[in-house]
Amino acid sequence: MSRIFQQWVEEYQDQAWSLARYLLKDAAEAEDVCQESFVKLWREQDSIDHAKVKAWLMKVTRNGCLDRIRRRKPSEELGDWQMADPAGEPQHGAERFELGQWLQQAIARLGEPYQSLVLLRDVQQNSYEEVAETLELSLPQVKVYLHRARKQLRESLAEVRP
Amino acid sequence: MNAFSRVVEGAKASAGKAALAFTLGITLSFAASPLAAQEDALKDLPGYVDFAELSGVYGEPKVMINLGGSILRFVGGMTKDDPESAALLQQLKGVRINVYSIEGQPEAALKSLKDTKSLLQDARWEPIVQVNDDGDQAQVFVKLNGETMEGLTVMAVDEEEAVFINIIGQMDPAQLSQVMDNFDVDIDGIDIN
Amino acid sequence: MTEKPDFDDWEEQINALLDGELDDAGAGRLKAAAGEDHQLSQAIIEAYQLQRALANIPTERAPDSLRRKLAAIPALEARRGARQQKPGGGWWQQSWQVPRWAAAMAAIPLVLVAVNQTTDWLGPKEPSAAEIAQAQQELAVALSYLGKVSRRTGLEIGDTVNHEMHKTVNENMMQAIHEELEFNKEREL
Repeated sequence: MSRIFQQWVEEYQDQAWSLARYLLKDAAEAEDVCQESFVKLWREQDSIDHAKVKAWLMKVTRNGCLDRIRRRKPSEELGDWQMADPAGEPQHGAERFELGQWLQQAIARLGEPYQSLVLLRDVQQNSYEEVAETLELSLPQVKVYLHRARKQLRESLAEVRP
Repeated sequence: MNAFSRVVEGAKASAGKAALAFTLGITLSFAASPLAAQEDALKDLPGYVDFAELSGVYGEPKVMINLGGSILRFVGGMTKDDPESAALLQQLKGVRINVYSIEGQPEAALKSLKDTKSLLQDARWEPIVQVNDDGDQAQVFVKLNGETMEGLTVMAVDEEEAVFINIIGQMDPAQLSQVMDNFDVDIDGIDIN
Repeated sequence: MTEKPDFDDWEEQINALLDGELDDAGAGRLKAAAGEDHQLSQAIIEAYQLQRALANIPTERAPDSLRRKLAAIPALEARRGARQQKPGGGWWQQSWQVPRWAAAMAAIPLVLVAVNQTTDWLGPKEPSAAEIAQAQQELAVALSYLGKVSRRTGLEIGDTVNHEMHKTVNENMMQAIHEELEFNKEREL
C-alpha cells in the first residue's frame, strides 16, 4: 500500500504542485493544498480506481485550490507572480524564454475553468478524458472551453507581438 | 547531583509545586532506540545537558523529542539534495527538546534564569547570548572545545511555554542556520482542523 | 461579394487539427482554405506556435519541503491510525497534517517516545523508511522550535552563535595568552 502510494507521489507531485501554484499563486498555500490532496489520496486509495488516480488527484487538488480562492477576502487578491525556472533547464534563446514567461503570466490571468484546461491539457499534456474527469465536465464541454481558452491566449499574444 | 538537578531542586524549593520558573538549557538528543540506552550513550558527551528532572518542576512535557546520532545520520542520508543539512546531520550526536506549558505563569520561570546561567557556567558552558524582551527571555550557551562547538543549549521562556533544546555534537553554527531554514515550519501559524 | 470565412467554424477545425482529430478530408479542406485566405493561414500558424509554446512550458518541480511532507504521509497516517484505535481516543485530537503545525506536531514526540520505548532496535540495525520519515518530522519540529525562539526574540541563533562563538573563542584565547604571559612574568621575577 505504501509502495504504490510512494509511486504516485513520485509521479504526480510535480504536476499537482504546478496546478496548485498556478491557481493559488501563493507557494505556501499551494503546498498546503497539495499535502491535503495526497493525504486524501492515502486515506481513500482503496476506493479509487487505480487507473484514474491521476485525474482523481488533480481534481481534488483543483477543488482544494478553488475552495481556498473562494474563502479569500477581496483584499487578498494576489498579483502577477513569476514561476520559478525549473532547475537545470537550459533556455534556448532569449525569445523562447520570454514567450514562456509571458505565457505563464497569461495563463495565470485566465479565468476558470480556462486556466485549468490549458494547464492540464496543453501544458501538462493530459488526455481529454483525464481533463474531463478532473474538471467534472463532459468531453464536448472540455473541447469547447479549451478552444475558447486557446483563442483568448492567441488574441492576447497577437496584441503583444510586434 | 548534577548542575541541572541542582537548579531543579532550587526551583522547586523557591517556587513550590507550581514552580514553572525553569530556565534550564534545552538538550535535544534524539533517540530512535530504547531511551535508557540512548541516554547512557549521550551522557558522557561534553555537549550533553541533562534535564530529566524538569518534569518534576513543570509537569509532563507537551513536546519531547529525542533523536540519537544513528537516526540523525540516516535522516542526513535522505537529504541528498540538501548537502548542508546532510553534512550537519552527519556530525550531530543528538538532538533533544522538551517543551512545557507554563500556563501564563512566566514569572517563576524567569526568576531562575540567573541561577541557571551560573550553574551552566560552572559546568563550563559559555553563555553566548541573553535576550530579555517584554517577558520573553532566551539564553543560548555553547560548549566549546578549543574552537569547535560540541554542544548548543537554548532555553526560552515566554508567557505560554518553556522550551529547552540541546544539540550535541560538533557543528558549524552557520550550517545550523541553513538547516533551520531548510527544515523550518511555521509553528505559530497553526490551522487546526 | 466574397463572404469572409466564419472564424468560429474554422476555429473548431483548427483545434481539431491541433488535437489530431481532423480526418484527411477535413484537413485537406482546411489547408485549401488557408491557401486562399491569409488570415486563416495566419491563425493556423499562430495556433501551432501557441500549442508548441504551451507544451514547452516546463512543469515546476515541487519544493523539497513539500516532497518531504508527502514522503512522510504513510508513516504519519499509520501513527494516526494507531492512536485512533485506542479506547476512548487519545488526548490529541488534532490532525497531524495541518501544514502550519505546532500543537498538531507537538503530540508526535510523546507518541514517538512511547513507540521508541517499545522497540527493541539497538545498535547498528538499520531503521525502516517509516522510522526515518518519523525522525525527519521530529527533527523538523525541533529545528522549528529553535526557529521560533529565533523569531520571538529577534535572534538569528545560527548566525548569532557563530559570531558570538568566535568572539568568545578569541576572548578565551586572549585570556589564556594573558595568563600565560603573567605566569611567565612571575616566574622570571
